[in-house]
Amino acid sequence: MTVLVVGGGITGLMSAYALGKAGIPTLLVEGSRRLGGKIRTEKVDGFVIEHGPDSFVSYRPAGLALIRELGLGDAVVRPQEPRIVFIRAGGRFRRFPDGMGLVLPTKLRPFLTSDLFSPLAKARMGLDLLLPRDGSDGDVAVGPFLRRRLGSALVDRLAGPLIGGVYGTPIDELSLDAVVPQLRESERRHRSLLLAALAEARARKEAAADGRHDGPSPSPFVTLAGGTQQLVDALAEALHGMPHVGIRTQCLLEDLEFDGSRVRVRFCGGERLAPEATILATPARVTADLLERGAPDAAGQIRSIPHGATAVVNLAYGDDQLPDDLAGHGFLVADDEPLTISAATFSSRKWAGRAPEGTLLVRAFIGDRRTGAHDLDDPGLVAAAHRDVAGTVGIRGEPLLTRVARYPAAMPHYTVGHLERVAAAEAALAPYPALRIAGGAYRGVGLPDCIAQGRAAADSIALLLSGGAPAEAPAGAADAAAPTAAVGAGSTSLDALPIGAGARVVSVAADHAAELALEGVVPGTIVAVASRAPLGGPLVVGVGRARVAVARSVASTVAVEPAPEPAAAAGR
Amino acid sequence: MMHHHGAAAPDRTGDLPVVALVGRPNVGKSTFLARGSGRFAETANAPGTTVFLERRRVCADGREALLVDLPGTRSLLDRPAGSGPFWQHLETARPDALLVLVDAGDLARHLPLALACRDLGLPIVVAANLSDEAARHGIELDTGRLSQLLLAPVHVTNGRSGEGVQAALADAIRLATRRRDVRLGLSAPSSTLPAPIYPPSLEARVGAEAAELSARVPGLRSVGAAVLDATGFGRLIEAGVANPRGAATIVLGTELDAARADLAGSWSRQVERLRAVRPPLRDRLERLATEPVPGIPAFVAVTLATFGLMVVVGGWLAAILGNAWAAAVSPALTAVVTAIIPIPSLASSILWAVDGGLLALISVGIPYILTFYVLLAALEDSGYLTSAAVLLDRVFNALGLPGRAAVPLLAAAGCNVPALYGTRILRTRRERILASFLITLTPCSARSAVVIAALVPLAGPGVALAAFVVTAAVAIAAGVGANKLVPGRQPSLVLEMARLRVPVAGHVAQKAWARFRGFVLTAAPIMLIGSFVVGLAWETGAWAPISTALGPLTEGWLGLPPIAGVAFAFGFLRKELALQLLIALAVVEYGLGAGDLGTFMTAGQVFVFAIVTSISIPCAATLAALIAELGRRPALTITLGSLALALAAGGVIARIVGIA
Repeated sequence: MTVLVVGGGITGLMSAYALGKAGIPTLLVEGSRRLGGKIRTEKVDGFVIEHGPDSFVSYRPAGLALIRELGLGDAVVRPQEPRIVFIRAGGRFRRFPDGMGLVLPTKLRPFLTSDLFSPLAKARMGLDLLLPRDGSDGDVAVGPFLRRRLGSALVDRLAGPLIGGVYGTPIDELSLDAVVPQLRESERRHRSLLLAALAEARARKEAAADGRHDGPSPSPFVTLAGGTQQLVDALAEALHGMPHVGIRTQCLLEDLEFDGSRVRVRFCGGERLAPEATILATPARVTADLLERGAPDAAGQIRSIPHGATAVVNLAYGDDQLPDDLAGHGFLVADDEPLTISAATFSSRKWAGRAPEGTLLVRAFIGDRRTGAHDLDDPGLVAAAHRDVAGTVGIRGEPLLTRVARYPAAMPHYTVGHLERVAAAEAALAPYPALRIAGGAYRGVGLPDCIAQGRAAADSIALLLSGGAPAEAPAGAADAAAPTAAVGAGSTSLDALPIGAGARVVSVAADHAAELALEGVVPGTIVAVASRAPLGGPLVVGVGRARVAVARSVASTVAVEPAPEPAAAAGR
Repeated sequence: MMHHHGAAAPDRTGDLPVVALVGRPNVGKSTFLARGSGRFAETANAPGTTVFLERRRVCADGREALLVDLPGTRSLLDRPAGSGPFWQHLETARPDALLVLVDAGDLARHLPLALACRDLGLPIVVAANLSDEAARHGIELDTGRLSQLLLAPVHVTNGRSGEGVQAALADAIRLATRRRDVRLGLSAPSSTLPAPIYPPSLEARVGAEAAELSARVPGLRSVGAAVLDATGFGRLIEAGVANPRGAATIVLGTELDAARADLAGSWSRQVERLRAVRPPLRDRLERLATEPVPGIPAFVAVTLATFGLMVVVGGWLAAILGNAWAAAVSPALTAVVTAIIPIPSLASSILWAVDGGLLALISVGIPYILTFYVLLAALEDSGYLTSAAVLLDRVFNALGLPGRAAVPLLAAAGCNVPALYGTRILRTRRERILASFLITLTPCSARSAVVIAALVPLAGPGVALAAFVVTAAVAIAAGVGANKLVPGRQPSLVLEMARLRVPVAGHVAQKAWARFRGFVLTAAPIMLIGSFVVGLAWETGAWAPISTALGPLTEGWLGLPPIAGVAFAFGFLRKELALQLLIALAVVEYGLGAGDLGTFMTAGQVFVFAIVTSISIPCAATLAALIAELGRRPALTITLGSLALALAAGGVIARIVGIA
């Protein structure tokens, strides 16, 4: 019995790791020579150069949870203080207002005094306090939604660079439901987004007063001391330590063969494998090609997810080349600026230990907005990045070191209707119960999102193999459906769990904790309700390979959260 | 309580090394023991049927040892079978080595107990049992690796086929013998300190606790029994069952369990080789068995089939054996007894005992009770009873009982005596009292026979069925009432489901026979003596005053002929004879024409008679079992309670049918 994980990026690594930890024999195959996919950290001459993502958000728990699980908790680093970021808009650098959330201010005063927006633009934003709710229901683009409530200035100068930059997609095409569903929820609840943001900030402040936080709110961004690659290395090491997990690199899949509900694999070179289950953690385009024959509908849906090109240019300068007044962690570029780069991070200022003493490491990001940029050759791209950074900041001379990493057609664009497309793709995979797709193209592009998806796919496969759950429904985890949605969106009690649904035990009431522990039900255990006896009788609960009958009165004291697992998406 | 069963220290005759079998419920210890010792132990595929400390002399590789079967337990602090914590059983058994049975197919669940045993400091041998089921699920074990991790021999065993059993046993006996030699000073001890496996912080806690315990133990000797009881762990150390560190791991058991579970998880992943297999059909059956549909119809079908078989097979056997007895044995016995005993009335009384009493044993015991035991054994070994327990849990909850009480209650329909012993699977005394009460209200096969024989010829099977329905209704109402009256509350069900297995014919036969033997040994003397007393009362005419004394009750309250009272009174001694007695008495009282019930009783009267008989007082054997299991007072309360209930129900029905 082997589970095949295709794709050695962070998603696939995570899946293999979770399966391996569950004791399930797993084979991870990766087409290229190295593991990690788009995560790549190069260490040269004292520089720690990130070719892919350089950090991730801490408020999505999957990332930090994995890091702690791997024992890397001590390696987590946060940006150095003070955290000052600029926005290049109107030909000038403007200070990013203090206390800004993703789009909206959490503090009123810095926002009102910011020179990022004209008084007229600020007045337009004030209209948000008065405007009625938008009654519409279906998915819309983030840009128009924000423009209607807050005006164009905010979108062009702040939301666009920020959200559009993160997702590498023009904000007027980005799906609201897929990217910032909390905005829709805020409007529904508070009507005014500003009021909602301020209320949320107040709530957080009160929580801080309760001693849950201290000091200024920490940056949402974190990374590892050794670069994001450290996570990949730790995962790979953990996998090498698992005798039942195999890893093959430079191993390409030629095709998937579909036979009934089973999926077999043919590798380049002709070798065949009939895995018990398969997780495709490949780029969407590859996934679509693999699925073309067995699930053309799924392939079509996946192919319809547009992808854009991005590039990262790392530049190093000596301190003697810098202007005296260089400050901050970098800058974002407003949409209407005539620059090629869409953001620049002064990596060595933002993170400690990224460059040798007396040097500055700059990481310039080139998104998809700048038409033509990606037609440039590498030296051209470097020249453009250097020109943009040096020209705006006032750096003299040529860079000491340059690196280019290009990602053609790699950045999935979460355009309007994205989640429906993903759901449709997953539904079209229903005939193959032991086949999962996971990765940045589906339910979140960030590192924690990929990790969460990788884990969810593995957990659902583990549950499937343990016979704990019906195999009909495709992957579509309830909590992954809204990548940024609430974390503990509410645990439920074991007796309220639908039959076949898997769940993770969160807590057990003290009365029955000892008794349940003897049967292996402790916090963290994955359980699934197999059946319910009549007349309000006991539940039969799958715990590992055993089945345990639990009276409903006892089950009601066991708090569970839906484990990312097929049938959990019963809401659909 | 253990001391009642002769399991206390004195029988360490000859200082044989002792090997104790430890394992979670239902891991197949008793079957393993039966294989290991070549004899049968009480086993059932229902958690927790091993309630006695079984001791067997076993021999392997020329070494002899005592093998002790301990109740199935989930941890050393667990309280199996409603007794004290498991480590106290260990103290009683005083093992020199532990043979820990784990499920080869679910190490993650079973290894924590093995780790806990290993922590005690006793040598352990691990038997990965149920290997056939593991193989069916595509699970194979790297036992070499597991031995390395556990620092203990590991054997793959299958109690059903006997595979690996002798090897595991021989290993355990070898280790036990070595430790016994050390204990007796015959050889020098070798270090058996296990390497630390827990996180350093936990190991430090264990070390500190161990130091404290060993500091306390020498003092305890002089302080006296009261302190010893309060700190049983010290006693455990003194008994040599655990070293101070081992005792400390029991004290800190709940804290260590999480670490043990983690280790078990990671070790099991290291040693399991998983193969893709099609999930066995029984996995699906197991799931279906507890679903309302088809679970309930299946349960009804199984129950009906069980009783159908019992009635058909039992009736057939009863007829054959009864006829054979009457044709061959009875005349011979009569001739012999009358020839030897000169006093006619004494001879007749003795004939009552040896002829009538043995006939009853043979024509009721063998056909009905043995048949029922075979069916029950098959059901138990099939693992179906836990499914039934889950299905019926709510029903039994209303009676203050957990679903597992279904097992003894079903057994009660065969005979109340073994059913009463079966209540040991219940966890609390309250549950046992309530269940025992219900058992005495359940018509055993002898009482059912009376109901059927009295009513079917006279009023038809429908009325007989009605009598059973009334009996059941009375029993349920009484159970609900008793649940309200007896203080306390029944704990909620948390029960591991047994796997479905095909019963092994040999085991079923052995088990049924062992139980039947036990039943005969308990019931036969009482039956013989009872028959003799009945005979004596009969032959000497002593029954007439009894009849008169009971007159008001029988005639006035129940509306029955006065001789029915005598039948009831003697029914206490010979339940199944109540009907024959009644007819015989009627012949004496009313003349020869009264050979048929219908000539001196109306259908209504027979109905009342049947109801009172089927509910009424437990027979002498049942009373003896009640006293043995629960003590005098509860036994008396239960007896009087069911008597009052029978009379009340009989009186009410008598008024409804208009005979009183």
